[in-house]
Amino acid sequence: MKAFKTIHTMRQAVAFLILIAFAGCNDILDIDAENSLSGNILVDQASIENALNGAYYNLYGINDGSDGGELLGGDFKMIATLLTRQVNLEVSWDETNAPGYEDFVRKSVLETNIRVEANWRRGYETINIVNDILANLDNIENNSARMQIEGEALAIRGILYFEMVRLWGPQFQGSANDLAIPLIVDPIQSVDDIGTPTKASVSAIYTQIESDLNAASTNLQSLGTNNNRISYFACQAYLAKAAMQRNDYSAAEGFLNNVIGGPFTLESRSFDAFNNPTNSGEEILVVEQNAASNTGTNTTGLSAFFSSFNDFGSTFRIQPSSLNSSFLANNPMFSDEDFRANIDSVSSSADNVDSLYYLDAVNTFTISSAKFLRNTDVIPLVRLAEMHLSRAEAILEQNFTGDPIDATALADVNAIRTRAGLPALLDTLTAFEFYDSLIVERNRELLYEGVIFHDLKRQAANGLTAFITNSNLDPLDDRFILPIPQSECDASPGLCN
Amino acid sequence: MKPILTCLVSLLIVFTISAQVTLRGTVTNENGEGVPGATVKIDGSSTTATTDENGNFTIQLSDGYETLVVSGEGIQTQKIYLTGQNSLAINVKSSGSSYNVVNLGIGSQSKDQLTSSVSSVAAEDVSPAPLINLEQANQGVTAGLFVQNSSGKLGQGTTVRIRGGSSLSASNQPLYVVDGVPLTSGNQSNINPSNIESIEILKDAAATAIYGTRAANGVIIITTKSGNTGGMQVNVDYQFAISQTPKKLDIQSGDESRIQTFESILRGFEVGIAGLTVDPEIEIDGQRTDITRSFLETYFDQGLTGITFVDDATNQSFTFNIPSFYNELTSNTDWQDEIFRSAPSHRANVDIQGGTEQLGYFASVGYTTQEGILVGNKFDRFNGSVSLDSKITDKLSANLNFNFIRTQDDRLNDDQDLGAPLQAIVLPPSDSFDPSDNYRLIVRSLEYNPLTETNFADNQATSNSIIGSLGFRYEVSDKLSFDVNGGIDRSDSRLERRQGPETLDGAPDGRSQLSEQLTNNYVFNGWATYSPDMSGDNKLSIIVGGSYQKSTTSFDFRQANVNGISILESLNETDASLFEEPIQGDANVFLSSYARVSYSIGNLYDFQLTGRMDGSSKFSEDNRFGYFPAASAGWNINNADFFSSNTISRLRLRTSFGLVGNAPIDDFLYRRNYIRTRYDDEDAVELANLSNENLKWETTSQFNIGVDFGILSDRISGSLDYYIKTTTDLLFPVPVSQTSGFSTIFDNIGTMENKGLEVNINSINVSNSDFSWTTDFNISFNKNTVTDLNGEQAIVGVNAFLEGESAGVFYMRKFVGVDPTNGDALYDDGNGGTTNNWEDAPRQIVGDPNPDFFGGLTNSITYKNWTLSTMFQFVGGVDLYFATGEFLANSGILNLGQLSRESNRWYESGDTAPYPALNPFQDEPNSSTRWLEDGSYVRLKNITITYNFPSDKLSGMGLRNLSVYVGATNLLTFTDYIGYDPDVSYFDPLDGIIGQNISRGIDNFTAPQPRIFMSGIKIGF
Repeated sequence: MKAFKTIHTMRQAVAFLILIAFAGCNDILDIDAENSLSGNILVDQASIENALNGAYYNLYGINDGSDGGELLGGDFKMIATLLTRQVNLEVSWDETNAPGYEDFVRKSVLETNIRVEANWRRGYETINIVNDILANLDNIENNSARMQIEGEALAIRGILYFEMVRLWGPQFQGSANDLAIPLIVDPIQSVDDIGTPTKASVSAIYTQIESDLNAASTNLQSLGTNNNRISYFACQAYLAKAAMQRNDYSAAEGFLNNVIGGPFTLESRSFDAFNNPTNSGEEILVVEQNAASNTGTNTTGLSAFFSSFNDFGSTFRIQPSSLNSSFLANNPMFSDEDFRANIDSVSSSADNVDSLYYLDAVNTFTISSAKFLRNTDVIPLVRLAEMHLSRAEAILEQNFTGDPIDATALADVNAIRTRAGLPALLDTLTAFEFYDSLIVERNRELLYEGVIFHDLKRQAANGLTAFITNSNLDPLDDRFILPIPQSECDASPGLCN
Repeated sequence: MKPILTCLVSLLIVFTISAQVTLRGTVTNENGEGVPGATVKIDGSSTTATTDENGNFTIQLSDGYETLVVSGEGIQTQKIYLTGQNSLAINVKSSGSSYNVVNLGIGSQSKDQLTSSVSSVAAEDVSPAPLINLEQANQGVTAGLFVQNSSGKLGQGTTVRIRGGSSLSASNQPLYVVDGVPLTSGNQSNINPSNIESIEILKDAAATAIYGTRAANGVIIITTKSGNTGGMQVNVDYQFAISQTPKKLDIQSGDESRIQTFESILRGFEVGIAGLTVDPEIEIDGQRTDITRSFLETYFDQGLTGITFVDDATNQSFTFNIPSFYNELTSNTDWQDEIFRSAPSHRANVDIQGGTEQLGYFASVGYTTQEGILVGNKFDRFNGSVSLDSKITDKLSANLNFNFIRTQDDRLNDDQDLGAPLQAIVLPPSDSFDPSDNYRLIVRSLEYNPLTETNFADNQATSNSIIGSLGFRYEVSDKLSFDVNGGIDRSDSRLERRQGPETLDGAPDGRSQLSEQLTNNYVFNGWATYSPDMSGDNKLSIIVGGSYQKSTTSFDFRQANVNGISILESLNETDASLFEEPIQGDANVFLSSYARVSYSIGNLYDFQLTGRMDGSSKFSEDNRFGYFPAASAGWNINNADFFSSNTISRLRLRTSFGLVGNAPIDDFLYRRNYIRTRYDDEDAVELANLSNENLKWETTSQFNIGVDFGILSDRISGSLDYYIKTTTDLLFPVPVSQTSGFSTIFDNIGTMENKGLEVNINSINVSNSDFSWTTDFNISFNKNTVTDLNGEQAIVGVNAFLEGESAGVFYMRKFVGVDPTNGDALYDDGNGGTTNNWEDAPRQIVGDPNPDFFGGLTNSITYKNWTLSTMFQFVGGVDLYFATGEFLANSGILNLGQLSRESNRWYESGDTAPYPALNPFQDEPNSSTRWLEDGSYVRLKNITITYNFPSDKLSGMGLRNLSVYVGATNLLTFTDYIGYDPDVSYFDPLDGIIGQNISRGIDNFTAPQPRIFMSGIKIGF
């Protein structure tokens, strides 16, 4: 019995120790590691600015490893470009060095495509970062700082939803009530916040885009170009792009006037708008890159795809004949006097290339675009040239008459033509002639920048005859809407039904 | 494996020799000194003898098969079963030594009262092998402990599994406790083996529960040597060894390589015209031929500059130029000779031990320098240690242990890096290298050559570590005592990496990186022991205590494109070329209380209850505390009234059940964590994980039943254990909606089971004064099953976690042969047919990298002053994936070197070849069962012959003992495995902890364990 009594005492002792432990040791167990950033760190202006920089980092696809997804700084351009171009006759892709893109070239994108999944995930990751910032704005004491951070955060969300809805959703015109992608505006901070998402309609997404970008415009209006971060003008430019995508030309014209009235000027040559370490005069929004943070080196990122100054040549290869072939769908049909079609066949390093196309240093039967040669230069996202061409289109579409062509619209197109060495168009053109000219001008000016794909979709939605490739594929075909990744469908029952 | 087993069993057979009547003998202690005044008694009779001043005795026997009992003051009582010999050397242990006492980390217990499953490895079992790392020294030594080398490169980690792995996302390595300090630094690998007094391997829950949340993978308790109460003794030993590769792969010759290159060129031409022709043939010397082996052999070295294909059906002919480089490929380089070498190593050690009742001391210094068998690999280690035991007053005693370790490691690149020496085997044997051109290849100068790396890059790791503890014991009475101790485990390491401009990854001005890591791990521990008087032979012992442990690690990293560490260090903080960013450190705290109650009834029954409550900083407030109880019981059947046997001298039944835990490796998964990054030269942060307050530890319950036995007065002794270990709440990365920004989150789902049987048998086959022979055998069987993953699965490379299968099973396409018509590789299509489309073939469960059984067999034979000891180690029922072979075969497209057997490939229609046609355009690594191999092996891990100089000759020289030995490690390996070494476990460091836990049994350019020849001398005075 003595033993049992002792055991009883023992148990009391253990219970006592447990009691002490529970009472006193939560504090002891609440620790931090050196340099750790843990818990809710969005507590003041400095930390929220860091988070906002992190949102930019993701939005622009600064290289984050192979499963990163490059969003605006890469894949959103690349996917849109590859989906429209004619394989072999026009372009080819080196799948070995950059896997996952072959599906876009083949116009048959699988749910398991790694690029689709990577960009989908990183897109929502970025949206979640800004949602979290927006939920913690009260922690910023300085009013003007809070206004600016809120503006940029809203703009990032608006821009990203716009980019995502036009890749993963149907067109607004004709399908506004169709379901597109999940609309998430509340932060997910804990695993318990992860719900099963449901799709919102195209119009609901566009409403969010416009609400975010309008609010952002108000917040940022006094800040000019905002040190090359997202500015009032960038917001207006994206509102214009969204309005164009909805085929709402009147709204688009208003936004475009605001952008074109801003402090931007066209470079004297189209080539000068590219391969600059800092913004050129015509860039409204860019991805800043430097040696330490960029969208990729060696095998990832735009510069790796377009530069041939390595062991295996460019990843994205262009047939020289495609530049002036009238045979290919949606082609620029460059004339000989167009500076933009010059091919540099002598340069042996990215630093020396002096025209928009150059001979591939390894595969000398093909050429490459020189728009994104170095990973230390800015990547243009929205250029003034696009704004001019869009305004011309918006004006014409609102009043489809010619002879004379509206003077502003004509001046917009001629500004782009004349700097490329082409003769100015006359105001005696018919509306159809002018329309055809400005469409082909868009193809020439914005080639390989990821713009044409979305143009074809909005034009098709507007009832125009538009085709992708010589196989006459309908831009509104489901194959040109990116699938929601298989892994997302598996994890979110009902989302993909 | 059957022949191997039979062989092992036959080695176990015991023989006996004939009888005598008068026995002369000597009783000696551990140091070989005669023990005077010891009593030698014939068990069950009144005949006794007492040893003289030199420990000698004479005793009359009736038939020579009696049992002797040797006892005396200061020595442990020992029984010896005689087998008719007429002389006998009896080695006894001092009763003060730890021989019969098992250190349980907190408190200790007599082996006779142990109710849990614990294996002990005594100091002398750690053989004189030239093994640098402690884990390797335990390979094959005891049941239940599986040790697998990750690589033969020096200073590499070792996979250690006690009773199988129990986790996917958390660690599977056991907890190491050195002199009471639970390590977080990994320093156990570098403790001087000569300083180790004993190693205890705690296997079942009853033994490990006192370590709570860190005990799921078992606990290894290492006790270093301490002082004693004798005069000062000095031991000096020195060892010299030479290491070599145990094997060279059979790689094709220069000519065979040229034939392959020639064929690749021709097949490339053929593919180029495939769309334009129907059945093209080569036209040469007016003859037409397909590409056949005999054609290749005839023409590969004829200096052909062009090849013409003709196609009758389309009436076309095509002429191609042979690339000019082809005719320059005339070398015959054995790349393995360029990277392997005979590497010397030296090990020296001096220690002193002694003391008085008041102060015992032990101190040692040791130095090891070892070169690796691969060029550029070197490992140096200095060990220093001090241990003091002081009896301050009658009631208060203190104990200090201090170990200092300094290592310097010239490391090799990761096995997968083109700069790793073993990557040289992919280079074409038909090419050679030019030392005056940065060691680049002469013909194919763009292929990276690891010799360039070893000559123009450095990768040196240096670390200074301390493991120390200071403890006090206050004995209030002989019933109650208090222990307090504090320990430190600190490791300061520095990795210098320089890549010169000549190397592949070096920038035009070179690149230098400096990584520093500082781990500080403190533990404070206090407990009370209460052992009240009990009636009769009953005993009660109660331990109650608590501990606090904090472990932190900080990291620093700087990098710049400069060619030299000193230049890097001299760069100003503001230098634009310098990359330096704050790196998040590690930190965790364990706050624990524990208790153990042991109760013995007579010498018949033992009961034990253990419990630990752990609080861990790794979990949210709601899940922070866990309670890990265990209960166990033992029954000494041989002491029961009903038991009477002349053969069975000891029979003890043990059983236990309990719970232990395993926490994730990451520190703060319960809350959000951010990573620092930069955008446009401004600081930025990125979310690393969402907060996850639901996470809790993985819980492992373990049932153990075992029996300890002794036969013929313990001439044969051993134990048998059966266990079922079930881990629930496995941390698993579960897919979630990526609208959260993440594709998976950790959740506690899933269960895993390990069931197994362990057998240890120790036998004294012969024991007399001139000749003795002992055998120790152990074998363990473990069956691992992932029983539930909530419908999920995890696949990394060719390994997978699948429900109902062993963890990490091989999951890949089944290669079924070669299509004789076109040479395509054929794969099982899953429907009983075959397909030549690798993608279409389903992955199947095709093998298991977890061994069915493993163990070791040690024999020690002493004849007069000579001792021969051998240690065989074996692993059976295990598969290995020879990923090296996969790469080599696919490298055929690049015309790199490959295994000679690949010459036996398909050449022309009708060939029934084991290997597919050479396809110059196949650019995917197609993993399949083509490279899945049986990885079973039996290895003569150690063999040593020692000569002990007779003590009578030494005493004149003032020496206590003197021995010399020669031996070899990994001398023989019996295996069907095709790679260098079946003792291998590669994982891609980029795959993280999950990859490490899944990727098992992969050999991917992994360096073999060296074959080592050694000789040494030990002197005691």
